[in-house]
Amino acid sequence: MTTLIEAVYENGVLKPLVEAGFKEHQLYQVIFEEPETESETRINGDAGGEMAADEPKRDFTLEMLWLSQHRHEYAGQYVALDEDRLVSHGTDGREVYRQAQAVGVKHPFIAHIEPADALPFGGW
Amino acid sequence: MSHLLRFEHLLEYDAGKESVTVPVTLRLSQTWIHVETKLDTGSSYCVFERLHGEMLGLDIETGFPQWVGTPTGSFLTYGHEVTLSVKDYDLDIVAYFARDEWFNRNVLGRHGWLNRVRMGLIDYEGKLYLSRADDEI
Repeated sequence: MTTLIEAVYENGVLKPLVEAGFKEHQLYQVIFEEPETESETRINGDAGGEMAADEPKRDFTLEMLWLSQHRHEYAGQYVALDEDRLVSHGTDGREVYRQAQAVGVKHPFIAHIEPADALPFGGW
Repeated sequence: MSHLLRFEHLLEYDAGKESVTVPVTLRLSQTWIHVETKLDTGSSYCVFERLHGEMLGLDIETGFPQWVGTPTGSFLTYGHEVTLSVKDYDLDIVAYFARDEWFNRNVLGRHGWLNRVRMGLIDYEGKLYLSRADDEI
């Protein structure tokens, strides 16, 4: 059986932070896991979830849902989203990026929303 | 004769839009961006707006120059090696970034996308099924 507990290493002794019910003289196996730093766990602001710094997010369901519901409100603009939260918007894409990062969203989802009077895209 | 295909992923898009849209991640080393793209089976390449290349830290004009033709003219792009990610797929591709600032299209074309995946499309339901090209059918 495997039980996950937190422990702290102090003065050469690994001390459990909870009552784990260890038996005296029982041999246990220990798997060490270093805690991630704050900068490693948060790459997308508070809404970014537990995600390592070197692992981009993979699921954009919330972003696509937001776009389907709000796209018409931002015609002709860039929008920067953090999941289902609009972080910044405007006609200058660079500025939209900058604003998103300025409020702590390092990797926003960026979409350019076509103007309401845009012609249908014909490919090329 | 009927044919049966199996896919690993389902991406749902807004069928009410003018285009089939796919959210992707472009990555260069430890920098990445998330952008909305259009699926364009008529495009030879995966083409992105200049802004996104710059956000990745690319010096756009140092890339491989590639003119892209359209029925009404042509435009210049520069190719750079990046990683394109969709779902849990990471594809090392050459993405072409438009030289001109006004260019604001982002499309997934043949080289780098269509030739690397298998897709099934049910447009009236807004469903795009996806697998790697070399996955078992």
